[in-house]
Amino acid sequence: MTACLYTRLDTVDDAVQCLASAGEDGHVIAGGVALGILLNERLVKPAHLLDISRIDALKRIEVTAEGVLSIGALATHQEVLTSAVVAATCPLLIEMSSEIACERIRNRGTIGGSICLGDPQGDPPVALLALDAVVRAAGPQGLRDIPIRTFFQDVYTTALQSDEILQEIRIPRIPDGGGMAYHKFSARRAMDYATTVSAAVQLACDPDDGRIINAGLGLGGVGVTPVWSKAIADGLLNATPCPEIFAWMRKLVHEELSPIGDHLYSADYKSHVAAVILRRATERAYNRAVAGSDRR
Amino acid sequence: MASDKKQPAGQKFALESAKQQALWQVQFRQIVADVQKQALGPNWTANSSARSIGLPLPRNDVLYKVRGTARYAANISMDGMLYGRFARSQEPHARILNIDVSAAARAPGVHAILTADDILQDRLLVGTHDNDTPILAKDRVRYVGEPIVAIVAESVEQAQQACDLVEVEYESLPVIFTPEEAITAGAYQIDAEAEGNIITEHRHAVGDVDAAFAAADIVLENTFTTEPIDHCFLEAQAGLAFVDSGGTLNLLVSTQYPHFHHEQLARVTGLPMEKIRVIQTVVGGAFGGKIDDTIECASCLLALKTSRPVSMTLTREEVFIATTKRHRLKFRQKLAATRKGHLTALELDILCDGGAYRSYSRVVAGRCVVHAGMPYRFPNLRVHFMTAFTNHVPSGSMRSFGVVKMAFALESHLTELAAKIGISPIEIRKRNGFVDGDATSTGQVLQDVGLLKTLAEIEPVYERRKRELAAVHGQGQMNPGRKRGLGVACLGYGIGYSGIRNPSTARLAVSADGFVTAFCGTPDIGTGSDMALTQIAAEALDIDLGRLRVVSGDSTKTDDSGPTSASRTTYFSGNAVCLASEDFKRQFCTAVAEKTGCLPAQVRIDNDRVIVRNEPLAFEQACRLIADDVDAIVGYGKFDPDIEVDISTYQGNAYPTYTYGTHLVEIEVDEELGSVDVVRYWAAHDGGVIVNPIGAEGQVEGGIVQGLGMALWEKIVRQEGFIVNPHYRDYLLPGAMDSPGEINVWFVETYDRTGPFGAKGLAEASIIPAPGAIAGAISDAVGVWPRGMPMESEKILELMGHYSTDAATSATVKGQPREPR
Amino acid sequence: MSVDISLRVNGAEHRLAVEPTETLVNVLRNRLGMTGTHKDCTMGICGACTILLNGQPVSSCLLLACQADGEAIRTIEGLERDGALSPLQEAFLRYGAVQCGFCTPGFLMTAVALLEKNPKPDRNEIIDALKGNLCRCTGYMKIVDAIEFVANN
Repeated sequence: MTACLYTRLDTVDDAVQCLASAGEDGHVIAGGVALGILLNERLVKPAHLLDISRIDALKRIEVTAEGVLSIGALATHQEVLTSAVVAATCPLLIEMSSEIACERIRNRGTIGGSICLGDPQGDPPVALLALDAVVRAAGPQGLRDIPIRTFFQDVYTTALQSDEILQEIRIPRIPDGGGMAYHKFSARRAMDYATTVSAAVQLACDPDDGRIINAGLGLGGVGVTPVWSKAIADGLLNATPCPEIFAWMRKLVHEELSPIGDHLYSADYKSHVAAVILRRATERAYNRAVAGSDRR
Repeated sequence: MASDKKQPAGQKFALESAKQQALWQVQFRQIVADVQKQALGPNWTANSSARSIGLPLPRNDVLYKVRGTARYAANISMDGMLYGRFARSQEPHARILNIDVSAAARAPGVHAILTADDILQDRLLVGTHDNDTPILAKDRVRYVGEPIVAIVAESVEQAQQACDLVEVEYESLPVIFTPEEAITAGAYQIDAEAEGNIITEHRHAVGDVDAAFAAADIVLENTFTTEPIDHCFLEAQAGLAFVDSGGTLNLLVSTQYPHFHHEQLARVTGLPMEKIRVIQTVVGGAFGGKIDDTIECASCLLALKTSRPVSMTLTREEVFIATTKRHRLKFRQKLAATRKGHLTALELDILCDGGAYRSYSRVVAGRCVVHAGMPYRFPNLRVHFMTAFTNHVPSGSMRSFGVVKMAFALESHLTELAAKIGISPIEIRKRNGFVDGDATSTGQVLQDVGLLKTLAEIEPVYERRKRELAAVHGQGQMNPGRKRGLGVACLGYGIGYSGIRNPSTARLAVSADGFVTAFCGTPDIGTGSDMALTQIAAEALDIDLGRLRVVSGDSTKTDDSGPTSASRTTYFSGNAVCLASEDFKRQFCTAVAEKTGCLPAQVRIDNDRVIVRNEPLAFEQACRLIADDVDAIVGYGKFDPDIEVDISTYQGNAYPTYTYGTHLVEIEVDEELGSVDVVRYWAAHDGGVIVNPIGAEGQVEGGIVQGLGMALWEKIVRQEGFIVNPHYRDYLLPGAMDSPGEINVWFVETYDRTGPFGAKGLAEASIIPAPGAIAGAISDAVGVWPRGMPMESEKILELMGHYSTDAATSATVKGQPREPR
Repeated sequence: MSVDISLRVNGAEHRLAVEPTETLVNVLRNRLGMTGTHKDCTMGICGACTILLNGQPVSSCLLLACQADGEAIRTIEGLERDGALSPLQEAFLRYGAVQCGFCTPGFLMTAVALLEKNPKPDRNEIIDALKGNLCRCTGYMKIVDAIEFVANN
């Protein structure tokens, strides 16, 4: 057994530098939830652990001058869930975070870690896809902004380069009159992970006639990555929820998505579930938008 | 310390010293007295605390469990302790051509390596009923996960790394993954002794089944399936083996049956019985999954080989892939009834996947056959039960030994029949349920049957909820797309082994300072059986509870009284304790009489005092009086009811008594997704007189949630012999949010004339009705009958026919959608 | 390469050298002899290994010991006060919340964290807080009862 090195980093610059010098051996660890499982399963044998969990600069949750909600990559799911800033600006993230495992996991798991993992079942990516978030990465060449809708590339593969560290997640200002909702389907009421299907919807409607004027959506557990579908989102524009719209949306879900059957559910059933919960999330988001409040 | 030969009574619970424990016992007794005071009200006084049956008393072992000092096997450490791990088969069925351990032997920290070649051929095979399972695979592996090599090293990690270096060369053999393939002519014979790959086959028939079917008004016939289930006790199998200074091999182990390991170890090690001691540690759950050999023989052989203490703990993944499962089975059930709702015939044809070795397959089969049709009168009945070898991990015993699966089918048909003839699911059960004087299919005439009492308890709740739900549905108060339903199911379950004698014994001893120890063979596996036995002994002796300790699960200190399984501990060991108490009192009073110069008849124990002539003495005073003779007083009791079923005719008394119950469940189905939420639950049980109501309630609630788990979510999934979900991540155990928000448990008043203070026992059986009740509730809610467990959302939706690509056009957006659950 | 760390466990300072990949549950159990924290699934699912890290419940099977360097850790061994059971411990004992007991340390630590944050949770809040802890024996009712009793008294 080769010994493992451990370096604790205090700043993003140090982390980027250390990652560059560690090269292939470097393994970034934040809250350690995903890595801990892999270590216990003996699926990884890291040569050099770069512990970024104490970089305080990456824990901030704030709204910038231009109205962007900036969430540091190291904000834990529990911090997002209980953040007054998030509650005031983006309740979808509160609703989504409450669906993540349980508090004990949320206390260690970070929003950045969840995105970097690129798990098709993860909750945060689905919500961030609906919100059209931007991922800001720090690398040797400086900062790089990546639209989340291009971030998830393949199974557990993201656009983050091996020499980059995820710094923050930026959520553009939510237009007024908006509504959003997160809906997760699982066999049990809590703690399901590998076989969940989830949907996030953000939309805004015209205050006068109730037509949807802006829509974003994300789906989880229905393919090799978290999924964003422009076609479905665009189809909602200028419409109001009605059986015809949902029938059409359902058709598109079946055409656009390629869920993978697993030991619990067939691919067809997952498509069916995705269509149902996407409709439910859309209805709820729409009702919230119309009610003028996006709170539950 | 583990090697301490003189283990003070009660010390097995905790890692602390006896002195520390004594301090905590003072606090514990205070709490117990408090509970007694609460329960007995104004009648209670400090020295009238002897009454203990029926009190919701806290458990002694729990004192240590809430403090983190309980002595689970993996929590015990000794100087010089080594850690053992297994290298396991990666093939479902293969000849072993070569085992290369040379790299493993060179790995850091390795002390010893054990393969089958290190064990004499006639000592290699172990098993509870048949010695058919190699401690380590020799020439052939029969399932993925079968242990091949055991390695001890300085640390768990080193042992694991060495195991990873073991290279096994295999030659694949034909694989058999279903019992149907196994019994096909010409199939590869998995076990040399088992022709046709049949582990066990039973036929049982009563009456004229064919005539009954021909004459029947209504016949129901369906094929039912169930999936393998894991026990999922949270504490994996664990043990610590060491040789003490006196040369005795000690095994501290998490088990349901220490005496079984004791007997096996004597054969496997060649040591005389008295040179081996197996002590049960605190057991972190068992449910039938800790009565086979897993780490026991291997850890002992490694301890002997290294002369060092060897600790072995399975990983969760190993528990899933390499320890016994509930049988997967497929069966056809055909039931006949009259238009009036009287059952006339039942036919069952059952085929089980027994896995690669026998384990408890025969026991499961025997119990299922005897329980066919229970708890209802079937004048005509025919059962064919067959279990076959496959290349899967062995199937073994699990809570109810298969009866829960039979009940799933039978209770489904009962409810369906009720609907067909237009009576309530309660009524159909009342018309056919066992009453005193009825005979079982083995001809046993029943007494003290409380089944109808449990139905009577549930009936008003059912009728009320039925009306309320009809109103809710009728007034459109339900969220759109959601339907509620009610389901009813009953149970009848025999206490103890099926159709063979299975005595239990107890010994009572007393110390000069007034403490009484009850030595019982059946160990406490986390259920609180030691507490129940304490209460029975206190009641029988009429002394204060605080004077009593139960020592159980120690091969040296207690007799072999069989395993703690089959709901037998309260009834069998409780009766043994009662008998021992009579013997004890006789000896004790004689001794006091001799010292005080009166006749034994003039001495009696009363309310924690000893009355000599008419003079009351404190109990400890009396003990001091006879201090010189106390060691000679050993009250002995053996309870051995006359149980025998003739295997050729299936006639005879199968069990000394039976426990009964009725469950009612309310569920809500999401019609678009097919998913089921369990909303409320009611359970009425006849367990005779309840020794400890809070313990009994906990057992019933736990059994219900286990039953819901197998009904709705749990299944082991295999592909080509590999278990694909060997983790809690993918094997779905019900959590707090999945359990019903409300479980109401009642115990009906029955008194079993043969039980200790009227008790029967009930814990295990509470799992039995849950799946059948759920199936009935699904049918009530959405009109479909799932015939396979688990009743997953996808399957329910398929049955509903809603699961097609264009169904959603019917979706409405009226009303407020329900928030996600 | 081992890392020197210090852990404050139940108020007592422990300095030790750990391997970077060593999990806290292994350090507590194997190095510090504190076996009250149990280990089962090692995937963060069962909750048996729940401890409090700076007052917050976490899975000690997933937390690397070196990441807990300098932090305050509370385990089941630290629940007693002056040699007496804490109210939650006593309630678990009295209300039948414990059968085999293997999951109990995790449930107790989760309950401690809940009541410190929310001293008067209602039944649904209690159930929600317990959703990450598995128990195979009790069916959860009596555990909820015990916590509810403490919350109401």
